[in-house]
Amino acid sequence: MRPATSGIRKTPDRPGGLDGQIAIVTGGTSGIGRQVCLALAQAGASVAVVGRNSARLAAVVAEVEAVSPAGAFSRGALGLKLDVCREEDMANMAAQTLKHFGRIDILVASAGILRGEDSRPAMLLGLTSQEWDRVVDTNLKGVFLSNRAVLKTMREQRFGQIINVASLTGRRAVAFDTPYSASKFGVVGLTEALAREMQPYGVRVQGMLPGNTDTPIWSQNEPLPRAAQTLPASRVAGLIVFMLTRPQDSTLGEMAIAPLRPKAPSASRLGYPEPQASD
Amino acid sequence: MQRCDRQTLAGQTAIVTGGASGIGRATCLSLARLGAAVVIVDLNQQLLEETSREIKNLAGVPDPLILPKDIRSETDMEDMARVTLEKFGRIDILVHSAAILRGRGSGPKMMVDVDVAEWDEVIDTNLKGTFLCNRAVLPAMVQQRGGQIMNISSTSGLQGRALDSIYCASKFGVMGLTQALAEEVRAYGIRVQVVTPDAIDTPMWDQNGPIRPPGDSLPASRVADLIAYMVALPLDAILGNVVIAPFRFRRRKKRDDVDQV
Repeated sequence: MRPATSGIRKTPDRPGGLDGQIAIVTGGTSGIGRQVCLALAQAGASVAVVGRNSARLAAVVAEVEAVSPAGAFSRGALGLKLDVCREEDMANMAAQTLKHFGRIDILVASAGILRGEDSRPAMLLGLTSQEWDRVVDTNLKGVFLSNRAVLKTMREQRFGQIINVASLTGRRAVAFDTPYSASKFGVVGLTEALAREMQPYGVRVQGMLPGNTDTPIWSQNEPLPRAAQTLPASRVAGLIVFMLTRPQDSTLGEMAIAPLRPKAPSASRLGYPEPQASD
Repeated sequence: MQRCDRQTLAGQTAIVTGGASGIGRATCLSLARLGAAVVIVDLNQQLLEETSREIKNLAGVPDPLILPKDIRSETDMEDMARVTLEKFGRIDILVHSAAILRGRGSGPKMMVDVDVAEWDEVIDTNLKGTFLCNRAVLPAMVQQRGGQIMNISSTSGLQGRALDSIYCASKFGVMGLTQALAEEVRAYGIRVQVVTPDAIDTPMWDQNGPIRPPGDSLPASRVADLIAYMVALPLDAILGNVVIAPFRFRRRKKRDDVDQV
């Protein structure tokens, strides 16, 4: 019997119900991706953590194993030092996950950058091609390569789920962030097209549009300040796991999540009650 | 480490309009299961009592309150808020699910044949009803510096559809109203969200004449569970672009032609 490779499988209809499923998380060593690894493990999944930094990989693998429910279906974590920009690395990601765990049920594509490490927010008119390539290769081509790498397996299984982490910037662009904006609009388009393409095969492809989130990506935005209000990365990860655990008869498309409170309430200037008063 | 599945609404009061049938009824059950005291608002007394009994049959959940009120009536909506406050002291959650697809006794028709009476009936129920019930709970929520409103629009509130012109206009209106209100009151810690369901298996299809629901329409509980997740989410976050649609996958013979590609 090949329960995982013949047609649709019912995802257990309870939050946290990913017992025994095999997940890959790109960008899994920091920010949203790291929290997704932990949340998936708590929900009972085994996780292949993909990242470029060996020390951080080892640390996240240890964290994931520590939160995996004891004695459950989980078979722990696998660290994969790979780069989403490289075609052969992504092929390797799928091959090594299959070799270690036997199948691939879930891919969460969370690897993304705001700009190059030595770069600052900048107008397009002075942007180098190298800087453009760095952002678009990681954010957009990385989603293409990581998605494509797992799709053959998922199509054969007639089961599988992909969640691509885009950004609110994928719907409303931001000045001085042209490559990032273009790449994230691209991720939304790729995700919608792929969702339509793979639905007949039982492969559910969804997107996620997080607003300002408390992750290390802000260090790439200096000297601009951090947003006054940010979401904890675990909040975004919780939503991703919720989407993954929905029964397979429905799909949620591309959900957006943002911090509730804005930084500058204007109501009191119009004579309305002071928002901060009492609680 | 916090588990993402530990959600509760214990101690909270939730009003659900259109709560005696369809998505509203399923939402009453989902919220009650999370521990909320539910105020069921609907026009149909018999369905109100049925829904109330169904909730009372759940073990260990607060007793619901039923209110036969009309969302089209300003005084009814003010009464709804007042009675809820008298009984529970707070209004934490409003889920506004009451809506109609078309005028009583009407069927799918081209806009050229729509009369003003039917226009008014649908817009008054779906759009003005949203205004009236949302407005009714806001003074209490502003005073509490917290609360939640969940409006139900439709994928017809994102994309127009032939033969449904009034319904689409009303549901686009619900999207605009919700987005404006959300921005207006978020500084008070009030979260206003909207969900846009695609084909759902509810009695609303009875208003669609010869057009039957697609075979893969989702059970109303699917939307209700999503609503429950959205209101139980910690109040530091707000969700947008919430579309729930059937996942159209049929088991079929292996498509070898495509698999060879």
